[in-house]
Amino acid sequence: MVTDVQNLSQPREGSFSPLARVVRSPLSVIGLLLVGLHLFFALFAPLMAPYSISAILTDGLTPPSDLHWLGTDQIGRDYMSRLMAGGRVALLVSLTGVSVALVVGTTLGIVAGYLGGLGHLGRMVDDLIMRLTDAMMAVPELLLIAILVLTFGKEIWSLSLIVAIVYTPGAVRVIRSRTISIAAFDFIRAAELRGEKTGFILMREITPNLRGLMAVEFAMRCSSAVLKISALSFLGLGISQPTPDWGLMVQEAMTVVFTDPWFVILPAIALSSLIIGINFAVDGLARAYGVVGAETAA
Amino acid sequence: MKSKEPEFRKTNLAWLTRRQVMNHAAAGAAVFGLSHLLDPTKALASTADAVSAMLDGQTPKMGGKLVYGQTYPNWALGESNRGEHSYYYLDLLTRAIWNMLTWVDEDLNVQLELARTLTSNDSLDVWELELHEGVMFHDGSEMTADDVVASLSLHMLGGVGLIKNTIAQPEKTGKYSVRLHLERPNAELPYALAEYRATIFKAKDDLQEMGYDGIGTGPFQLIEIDNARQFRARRNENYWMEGGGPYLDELVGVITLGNAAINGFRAGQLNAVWNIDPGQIGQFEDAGGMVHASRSGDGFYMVMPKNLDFPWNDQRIRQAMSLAIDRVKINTIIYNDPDGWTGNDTHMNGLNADFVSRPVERDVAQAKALLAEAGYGDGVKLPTMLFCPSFPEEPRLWPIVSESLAEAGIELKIEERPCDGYIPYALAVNQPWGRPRRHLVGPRNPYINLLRPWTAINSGGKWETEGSERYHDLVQTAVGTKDPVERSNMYKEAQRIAQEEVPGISIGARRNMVAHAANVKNARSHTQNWSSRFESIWIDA
Amino acid sequence: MHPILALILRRLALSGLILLLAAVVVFVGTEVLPGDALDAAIPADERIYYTEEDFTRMRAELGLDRPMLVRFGEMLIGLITFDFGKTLVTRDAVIDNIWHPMINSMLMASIAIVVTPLVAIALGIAAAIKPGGRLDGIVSGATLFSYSMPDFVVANIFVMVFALQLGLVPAVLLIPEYASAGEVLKLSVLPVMALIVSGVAYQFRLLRAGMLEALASEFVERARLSGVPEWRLVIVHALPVAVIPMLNGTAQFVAGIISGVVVIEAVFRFPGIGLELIRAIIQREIPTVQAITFLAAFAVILGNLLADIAVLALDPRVRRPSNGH
Repeated sequence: MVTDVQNLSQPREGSFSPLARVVRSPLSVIGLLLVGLHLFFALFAPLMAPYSISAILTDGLTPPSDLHWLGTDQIGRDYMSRLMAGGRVALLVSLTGVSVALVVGTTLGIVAGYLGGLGHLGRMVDDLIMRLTDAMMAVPELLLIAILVLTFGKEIWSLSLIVAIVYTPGAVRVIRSRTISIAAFDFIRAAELRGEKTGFILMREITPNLRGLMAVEFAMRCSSAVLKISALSFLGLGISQPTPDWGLMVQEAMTVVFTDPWFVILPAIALSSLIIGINFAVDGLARAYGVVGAETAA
Repeated sequence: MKSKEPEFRKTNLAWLTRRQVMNHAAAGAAVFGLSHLLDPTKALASTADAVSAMLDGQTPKMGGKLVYGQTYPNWALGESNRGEHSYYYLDLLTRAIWNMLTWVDEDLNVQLELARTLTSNDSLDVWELELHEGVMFHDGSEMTADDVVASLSLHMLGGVGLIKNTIAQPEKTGKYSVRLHLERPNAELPYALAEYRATIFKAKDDLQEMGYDGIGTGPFQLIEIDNARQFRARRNENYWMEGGGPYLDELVGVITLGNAAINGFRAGQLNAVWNIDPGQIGQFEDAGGMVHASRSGDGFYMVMPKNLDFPWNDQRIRQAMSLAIDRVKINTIIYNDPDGWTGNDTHMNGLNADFVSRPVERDVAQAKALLAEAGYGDGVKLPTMLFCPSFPEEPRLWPIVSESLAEAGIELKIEERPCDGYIPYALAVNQPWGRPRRHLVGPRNPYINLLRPWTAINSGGKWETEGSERYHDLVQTAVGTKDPVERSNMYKEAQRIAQEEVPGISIGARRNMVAHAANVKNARSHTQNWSSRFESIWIDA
Repeated sequence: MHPILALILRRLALSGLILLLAAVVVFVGTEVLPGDALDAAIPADERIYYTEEDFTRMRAELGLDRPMLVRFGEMLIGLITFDFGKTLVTRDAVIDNIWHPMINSMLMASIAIVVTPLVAIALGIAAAIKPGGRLDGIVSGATLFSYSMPDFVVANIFVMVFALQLGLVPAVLLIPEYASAGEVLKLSVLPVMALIVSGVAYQFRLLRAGMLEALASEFVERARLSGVPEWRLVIVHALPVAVIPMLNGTAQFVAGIISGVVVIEAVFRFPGIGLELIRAIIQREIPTVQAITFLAAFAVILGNLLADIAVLALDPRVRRPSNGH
């Protein structure tokens, strides 16, 4: 796989803080607000939900009422309580999993990218890491997640671990590629000539310049992970009853879509609004940090 | 799209209510008669009559194509990839292609099919069978006693458990007559011969080679099958049965999982669907469909292996579980039938005349007391149980079971597995008891219904107590007893033993339903979902 | 040796190495991490159903009592020679179960793999003619939206709109698993459309970025000054350069399509390998899972190899020997 090293943007130490630039774009603000809202529900749904997610309260599908603001589902469970909690697992799993993936991926990526330019041994380490990421990325994400679910199970911690494993190689690639570009800059050469230790250069010179890319990466992988986790439950391989999950809720409600479309539309909107929120935020972040589309998409 | 009906959907389906069941039991009367069995020497009614009765008052038209969806795949019994053999037929509706010697009608009474007469000796252990003459296989050859003897011999190898356990030796006594020597007296043999796998094949020297050519004597002739998905068949022009049919030019059956059933019906690709999701009655009616419901259907029975160290090895835990499960809620929410009968922890169906209702419907306090007595005052966690969504409403049904158990402090996870290969999977471990699981119970005659919880491999999960032995003796004695009242009393006594010891837990049964386009006539749902007939179906142009 | 031939051989060897490593990933994921295939097949809370003798016996039956390297070698030889062994429960040949579904899925996926980049290119051209203009905004917004829609929602919407409301395509695929390629293709229209919608955004993103960059480059600027019309600049000058980052993303693109195929097949009940995979995973049929995952990795690596060769043909810079890294 060919690595394109050209056309990198100058690392910025600009006058505006990048966050300030994010906030100036209306789309990014909408995105961040949506994400914030979802995070709020994910964290506090159990406290705010009017009913338990599994309690059977009516004799089946009922329309909205004073007692149940969004009605009850096909077996009489409060729909609002379930909808509020429906993104919880996917979002929490994605956030923790992708964080881990990014920490591990950044470490490996910097090591591979920087050492790869320093002599024969470094080149070998770089090659090894890169071929391994190639191999892992050759197995389609959803398939890799699915087989790891076989191994680790579908508890929250195991799903987080799985997301961490699956999203590490992508992070390695992107970070490595940017590291190579940064390493070519004069201020790194200068540090090397000053006789700084490799550790210092990695931590103090290179890492700070990766912050923007890492932020964008984090958001992008999160949106991908949320989609994959909900696809997993849609396929019946992920979160199982009675835990609510938007993917599963869409799947179940498809059976009554022609008479009760809301039961499909609401979880679909909830899921899409989360992904749209993240992606809007990604766009804003990418622009603010001057991250090129082609770089993050790879 | 139509707006939502605020009221709970009303359907004019005639269910069998709990009250009716109890009334029958109290009166000791067999309303859904087994009268022909009271005197087994009396010849049974003929199926041709049943078919003509369905057509009574109609002027059927020839032609047309029925493309039906079936939500129930036969994979629970094996795997999807076994081709044209009736044992593995994709949707159990084997009577489209094959015939059996007898048929169980919509009231669970047995009738004759390929057999012209069926009579037993006084001691109920030798039965004489005379066949219809001039019955032709799809390849043009005539069916004779040789084919029947060979087919029964094949089924005795294990393909049809009931025949294996019942018949000792089939004997040809003429070109069109067969004598069946039984292992022990059995008043209910005619039911065993009606099983959906008890198809009559063409004889072959090597029994094991029989059945794989898809050739039968049925109203339709198989022309193409992918046993994981669908089959196509055309009209058998030389069909033997008098009394009408088959009328359709072509019959196509498709396994429709998930939304395929309603989508295909809505798009007009399917003009009928067998075993619709009861939660979708409104969807089908919205798409111009009509719904025919049978009075009962396949039952759900929880199998609890007792060979390992499980909490439910203690009878009190099983009693608590049975008391905690809210069967009325299931009937109400899933089947819109709040007054319907509920499972009595045997395989008996509410439609059986000898059915004994639950003494107590539900009692959470009593369940908790039993748990405390067994040392689980703070609640009990049980091993995970499996089900496969053989019927589309099951993923909604089992959460109700879990939730109502939780109300009594019993934690039971019930997980879904795919139906294709479910039984081999469920039985692959802990042999011969297998994993804790829900077992699907086809509604049958009392002897078979009551025998199965005892044959633990299928159902009871090592129920080995004094009570279970008495139960078994009662059931075996009953089936060899000629006097119907005596027999019925024994069956009832056996059910009371099972209700006390709870070898497994019966939830109840579904209400089978067929949805069909308005111009499709006689597409009928059957309590034994595999016993639907296709001779009488016709399409009004 | 001709330098280009040498480069292609290098790429071929590299692809072989990556395939080998992918087999390691599959092996590690399904057998090493959980212990072995048997442990993978038995979740922790089900271990009560087995005795130690059961384990020993089953290990011996499945050949799992031999050293890990030997087992890996066998699995690898099996996978590479397309001999996928037997299923755990029914002892059927894995290949018999997956052959027809595999062909059907390949038909569907290969159309999506060919058509999606074409759609992306068309959209990319439309967007690049006036960057920041209304068309660009609409296309970019639409792809961002489609990128944010779960593919199972998109597929279900397609069924409802195109099959149920408009009646343009069948809602249920009434074909046997072994249907002819023609029949399968005829019924693949809607599934392929759904695949394209979820796959095109990724490629469009890459292409648009490449286009903008190329259009701002010096040599395009010179052409622009010499009076070459903008559409010509986009198609003749910018596109060939901009396609390269898109081609470099082929591995991810193909992998994404395969992930999509699994979901789309579940929605349409398409008789393909995705449904087989889901079944195998739930039943913990490890040999089948290994076979399907390996085939998927094989497809991804093959797609990437072809794209690499295309890049060699398109981009003179890559052909320079100094850039062989």
